[in-house]
Parts: sequence; structure tokens; C-alpha cells
Amino acid sequence: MAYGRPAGGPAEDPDLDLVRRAGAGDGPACAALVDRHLARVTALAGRMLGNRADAEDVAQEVFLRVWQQAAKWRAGEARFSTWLHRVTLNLCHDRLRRRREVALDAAGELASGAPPPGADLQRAAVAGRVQAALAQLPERQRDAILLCHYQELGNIEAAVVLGVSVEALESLLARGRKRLRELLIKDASDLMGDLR
Amino acid sequence: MTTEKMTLERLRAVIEAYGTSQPRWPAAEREAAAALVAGSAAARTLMTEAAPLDELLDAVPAVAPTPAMRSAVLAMAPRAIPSLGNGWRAFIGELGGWRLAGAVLAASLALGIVSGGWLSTGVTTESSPGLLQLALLDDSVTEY
Repeated sequence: MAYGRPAGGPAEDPDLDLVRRAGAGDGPACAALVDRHLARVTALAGRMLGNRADAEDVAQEVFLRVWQQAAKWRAGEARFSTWLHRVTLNLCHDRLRRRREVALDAAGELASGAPPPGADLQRAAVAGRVQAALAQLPERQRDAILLCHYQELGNIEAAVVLGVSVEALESLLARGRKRLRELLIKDASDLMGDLR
Repeated sequence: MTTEKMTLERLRAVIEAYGTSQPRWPAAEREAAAALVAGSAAARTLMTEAAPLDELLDAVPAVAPTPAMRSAVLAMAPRAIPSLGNGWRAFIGELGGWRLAGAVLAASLALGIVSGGWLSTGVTTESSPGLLQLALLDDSVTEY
């Protein structure tokens, strides 16, 4: 069975030139790298953590690591975007663990209690419910859904980010989506009504 | 990949994992899966049943970075080591570039060492009898 759109080997990394130039202190290259990836990093952190302030903190921390790493970046180990997603996920996991140390249910409260700004109230309420359901998933299932559904990574690259086989990724996705249906299905018609 | 390799069962597994949005489906199977959906009512039923979850997931908006955040991230970016100004570049260029400028500097240094040694031997009192005599003459004057 064949899987996935080609993730592209490290040699085909479309960010390689920008990363090398950024490491040498090339300002326009740094700006281009930020413009290419900051929105995706912030979006992933936002969906993981459920609020803007934490998402912005994590995104800045991610890019601090980018700047530290750029000068010594070695082609051939991983694509830059793969590494970037892995760093973002790890920093979000650290932050979620710290939250759990403070209060076991803090992640769920934060996810459901802070509707994103700019959305209308009904849509924000639905988003809050879905985000709360995502927060209830086991960590690996949630990561898989975030990477494939929201970040739109190909299955091969998502599997590399998570350090699993494509088959294992597919299993994580299927179990995660099944659990989401269970969590949301009893209210599905109401929720869908709120979206329309 | 041909349509024959995609079964309804495999399509169900693809939809259960990746949802109903075809760009998210595995690239190697996408064409065959899309063809099956186009040609099979049962496949379209699978899509219809799975669509609401995708719609709910899509309701969660992305946090977008602000301009201030972009500036803060760029403020942490590495800076290149400052290079020589345009005036120095032009000067070095007129000298024939770095290699020739280096040769000129080395020659200057050698010339300085040689000429410095030559000048220092030229002003010793031993080799200036006129000056010594003048000093002695001065002493003899004060004796009188």
C-alpha cells in the first residue's frame, strides 16, 4: 500500500537557502523565514494551548531557537518545517504539563473558556466546544489531528514530526476523530445549527 | 495509481483518518479515492457521514500573529557582523583589492623597519663629530 504525498527529503528542503542566509545574519532572509512560518507556528500553538498570550509566547520561543540553530543548521537531517513543528509541539507539551501541575483540568478550562477574538459569539461557542474536545484527546491523537487537519502536513511529514510510522499516524488520526465524534456527536445537530 | 486499487473499505479508512477534504488524503491514493467517490453512491455516503466532523473542526479559528509580534521575533534575529563602509571599500578597490592592499601594507612595514634602522644610526653621537666638538667647545668656553 502506498501512503502520502511526498514529504520531500531534506535535500529538497525549500527553506534550506533561507535558513543558511538567516544564520549568516541576512536580514531579508530572516524576514522571509518569519513571513513563511510565523503564522503556522502561532496557529499550531494557539490550537494546542487555547489562548493567544501563550501561543505568542511559544511562537517567540520557537523563533529564538530558530535563530540559535540557523547558523549551525545542517542539511540532511530533517526538513526545516519538520523540525519547526516538532519544536513547537514540544514547547506546547512543556507548557501544558506545567499547567497540569498547577491544576489538573486547567487545559480544558482554558481551551473552552477563551473564545478566539474576532469570531461571532455562536461560532466562538462552537469553536470553544470543539477545542475543549480536542483538549480531552490523548496527546498523540491530538497532535496527529492538529498536524494533519490544521497544519495540513502530508502524512509522511506528520509521521516524521511525531516519530511514528505512517500506519501508526493513520491509527492515531482514526482513533482521535472517532473520539471527537463521540464527544461532539450528541450535540452535533445543535453545533451545526450554530455554524449555519 | 488506478481506481481498481482503491476499495470502498480502504476509502472508509482514509476518510476515518484524514476526513473528507481530498487535499488531506494521502497523495499516492488521492486520485483513485476521488475517482471512487465520483463513481460510487456508497462512497459518497461515507463522505456525507464524515463531513460534519470536518465542519466542526474547521470552526476553530487560527490565532494570527500581530505586527508587533512579528517585529519582536525579528528583533531577536541574528545580525551580520558590520562590514567596512563604502569609503574604505572604494579605497581598497583603488589599491587593487585586498591582495594588492595586503602587499602594499607589507611593503610599507618593511620599508619602515629598514628606514627606521638607517635613520637611528644616522643620529648617534659617535658618528657626529661636529656635534661632539661643539659640546667640548662649549665646556671650554665656560672654563674661561
